[in-house]
Amino acid sequence: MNLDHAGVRVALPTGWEARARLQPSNRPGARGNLLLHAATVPLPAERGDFGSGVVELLGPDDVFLSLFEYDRADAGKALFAAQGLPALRPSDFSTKHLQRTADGRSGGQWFFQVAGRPFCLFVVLGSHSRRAAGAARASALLFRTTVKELSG
Amino acid sequence: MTAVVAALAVAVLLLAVLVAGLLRSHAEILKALHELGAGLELDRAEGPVDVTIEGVRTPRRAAGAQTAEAVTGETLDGEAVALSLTAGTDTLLAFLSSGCSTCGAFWEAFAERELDVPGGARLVVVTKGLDEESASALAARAPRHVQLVASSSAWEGFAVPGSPYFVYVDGTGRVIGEGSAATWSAVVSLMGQAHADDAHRRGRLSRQGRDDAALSAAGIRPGDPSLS
Repeated sequence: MNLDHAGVRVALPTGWEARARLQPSNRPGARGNLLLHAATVPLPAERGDFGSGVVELLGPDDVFLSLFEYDRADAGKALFAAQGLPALRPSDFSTKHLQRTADGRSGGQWFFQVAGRPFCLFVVLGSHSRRAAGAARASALLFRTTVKELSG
Repeated sequence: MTAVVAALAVAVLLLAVLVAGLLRSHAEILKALHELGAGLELDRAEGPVDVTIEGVRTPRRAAGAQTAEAVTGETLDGEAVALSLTAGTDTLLAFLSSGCSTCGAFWEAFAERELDVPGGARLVVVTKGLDEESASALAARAPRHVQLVASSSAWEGFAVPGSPYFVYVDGTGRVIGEGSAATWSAVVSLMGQAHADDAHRRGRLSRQGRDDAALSAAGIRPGDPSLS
């Protein structure tokens, strides 16, 4: 099962589902930035950009991932200096990276750029104590993700 | 006078032959239409119509990317969607269209926020792709809180014969019931029955598996004389 939207293609492993849309653009006529959500639980139609409405549904082995694109002009900023999709290590995850800490969940955040497009990746794991397996599960999704350059 | 009566008799005879011929050709046309599967006319049904609930079967595989593992398409807001049917949650797919009058009862039923869906499944309305459907008509009918995916490939993948049509998929991607009805209460009843039948069947298989394991642990294998 593939999700292909605005130059980002994800070959979803079994049990994952995803939704992607373009955010409203700040500049008239310009392409909106991509917001992609993927999770190992059903994604509700109403969700916050960084997973409110979804992370509450995660079980200990579940994963939620939000890929949030920024304006192309931001690609030159130091925040997005890292090139390519990140490699997720269990040690990158912390219970303090969440907007609301609860029920032993764990989160991680990465800023990077691919094909000149700046992104923030936000990942929530259902259990901090099982973050090794969760990080591997999230990484498996990133390995199957490709980002193409887009004009605008 | 006799000649007039004779002429009228001949005319009546000719007309009778003509009417008989027309009736025969009409019957042949109806028979041909019946063989082609026409005449379901769900739109004209006033109450529940015949529903076919098929038993458990393996997921169908379409020629394209659409399988029983997922429904891929887009929402009315232009969001690309890939819904998993194997994430452990049961899903009731409601194949509806904006132009079918029977579907009106379902759009109205789905407006209720606390909808009773058999087996606690999540409800997903699947319409044909937006190149074959009216987005504005769907937006006027579909409640905002109901998940709607426009996906012609899902219609093809599940071999949907027409709308309304319902497919119940368990959390592993197995289709455990499908069919059509004219009211939501009929769908709840029949899909609930399909769900209960599947649970019963799985319970029976589970018991049989436990019995086999116990016998095997005791050294009693298939064909053992003590079993005869």
